[in-house]
Amino acid sequence: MKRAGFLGRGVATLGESWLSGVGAFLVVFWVVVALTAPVLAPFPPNATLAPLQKPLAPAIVPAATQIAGALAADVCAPVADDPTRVDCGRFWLGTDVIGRDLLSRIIFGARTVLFYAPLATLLAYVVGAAMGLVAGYKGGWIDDALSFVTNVILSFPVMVLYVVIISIVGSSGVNILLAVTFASAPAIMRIVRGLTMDIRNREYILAAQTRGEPTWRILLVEVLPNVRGPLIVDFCVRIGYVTITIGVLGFLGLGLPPPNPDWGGMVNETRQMALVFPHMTIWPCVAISSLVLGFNLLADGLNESALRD
Amino acid sequence: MLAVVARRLALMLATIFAVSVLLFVLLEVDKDSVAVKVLGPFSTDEQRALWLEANGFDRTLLVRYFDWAGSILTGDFGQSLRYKRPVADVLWPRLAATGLLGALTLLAVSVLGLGLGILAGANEGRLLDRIISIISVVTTSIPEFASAVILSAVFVFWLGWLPGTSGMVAGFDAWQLVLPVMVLVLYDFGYIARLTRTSMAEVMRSNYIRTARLKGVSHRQVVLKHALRNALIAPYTVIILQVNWLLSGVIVVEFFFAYKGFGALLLEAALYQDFYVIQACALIATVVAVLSQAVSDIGYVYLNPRIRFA
Repeated sequence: MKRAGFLGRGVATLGESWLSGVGAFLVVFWVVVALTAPVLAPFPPNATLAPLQKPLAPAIVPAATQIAGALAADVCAPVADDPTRVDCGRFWLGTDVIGRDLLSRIIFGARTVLFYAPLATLLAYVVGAAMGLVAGYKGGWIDDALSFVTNVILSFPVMVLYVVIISIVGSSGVNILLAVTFASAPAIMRIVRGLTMDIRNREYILAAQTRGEPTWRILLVEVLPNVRGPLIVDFCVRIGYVTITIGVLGFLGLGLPPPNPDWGGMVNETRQMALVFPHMTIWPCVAISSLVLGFNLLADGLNESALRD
Repeated sequence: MLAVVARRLALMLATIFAVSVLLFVLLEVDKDSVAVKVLGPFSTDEQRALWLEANGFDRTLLVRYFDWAGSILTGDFGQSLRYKRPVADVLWPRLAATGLLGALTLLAVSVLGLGLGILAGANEGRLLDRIISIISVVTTSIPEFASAVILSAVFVFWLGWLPGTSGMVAGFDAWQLVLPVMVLVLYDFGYIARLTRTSMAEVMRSNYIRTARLKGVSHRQVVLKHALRNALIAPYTVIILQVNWLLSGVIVVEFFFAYKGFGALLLEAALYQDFYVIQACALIATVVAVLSQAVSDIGYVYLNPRIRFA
């Protein structure tokens, strides 16, 4: 019988441990929400509809609003005494200060976070893993140099580093990706370096060296696949952490430029009104926390299945 | 032991030096952008050139770096563009305020994290362990700004027990510290608890604990007298390392609660491009972080007799 792969065993554990099942559910839930956002969202995320509506308030919106490609006037019921407005059901989570539908913004916000968090983590992994593989495999002065650079960057308090970087390069999607890479790659380098040093003297590595394979091939074909187990777990934890970071940057006003919704930015935009309209700030908080919880529970489950070997 | 400490301190100084070079490169090498930041976006090219010349920016990078580092070492961080006062005058009171917030947080995190971790680790696999583990993973998944919103909603908006801002405008008020500390502790204690649990569970499975059990020592005695001391070595070093994380956490919490501390100062400086304040804050934060890392490493050697007597 073929031995189940790491992911296969991971999936098997999901069945056993209901907690990692919950984690997988939360992540899949938000991924589906992000993918189907244009269909799922009742209104366009940036359209001004009716300001300061509480949850479940009737959605009386301008007749010219575009809803999923159609004109609101054509798909919604008319309002008796106002021809410029139509009744489109309800604002399930209410609206924000300038009248945008919160549910739609949270749904489209899932797109933002699930685009930037995995991409940033992946980018950090490419840089960090490359550094770690070379440092761990080559050793010597290359290792010393790379390790020192890593330690210097790691000695910065991470959010201080982000704030300084963003204050220099400005806030934009690309700059957030670069800042996350710069700040996270060192930690990844450390893990990969340790794992690589652990296996660099195994027989199959020596065999590959004897065959005269080039270093890059040994690193990518022989070393990397054999250290992937702990890295998948770490990737899961880190993606949750990067999600928090992107949320925090948005909250601090250093995140993606408006008006497109991101959950941290939504909290920042609405928190002045939080005492009167708590729903505006609470829902984005619930959204980001549930996604991070999903990643963390999933990582726990994968970790347990890895430890069982 | 002495050799270890000396080597660690040397590494610390090297790191601080490297960090200062990195910050200098990030912030000062592009001198035109420095002039724009200091003089504002509407200054003319002529004004900028004059200012750069008057402030010695035409010298070589090496000279400029040592001049810059020298004035910082003597406590001269330059002039805040926003407050129109020396940076040091603004910085030190802010740092003291954050020190208070951080000390209270570390204390609470230690008590809560170690306590729950020991309880969970000493009862590995039982219901109590599962419950504590779930609480830990849930609380560490909630970003600080989210728990600040949620706790404010409960304690300020709904119950009305606590003040919602911590500006301390009418003098010092201990109640205003409660929510910021609560938010920081909530995010961090789970990590310490999980770590302590792992360390404790590992010790509880070791041979000398089994011997103690076989001698007929009670569970309580085994935990308190035999296991605890060894199980706390790893968490202790990590708690000191939380200083580094706290310097990040306070940015969010101080911004949210309008607490006049170091984190809020750095953020304001970043948003207003208050150049010298950013520089000073980043340097101070890193020096504190590097110091705490050295203390943690040296403490680990000191606490662990297997290394101390090696």
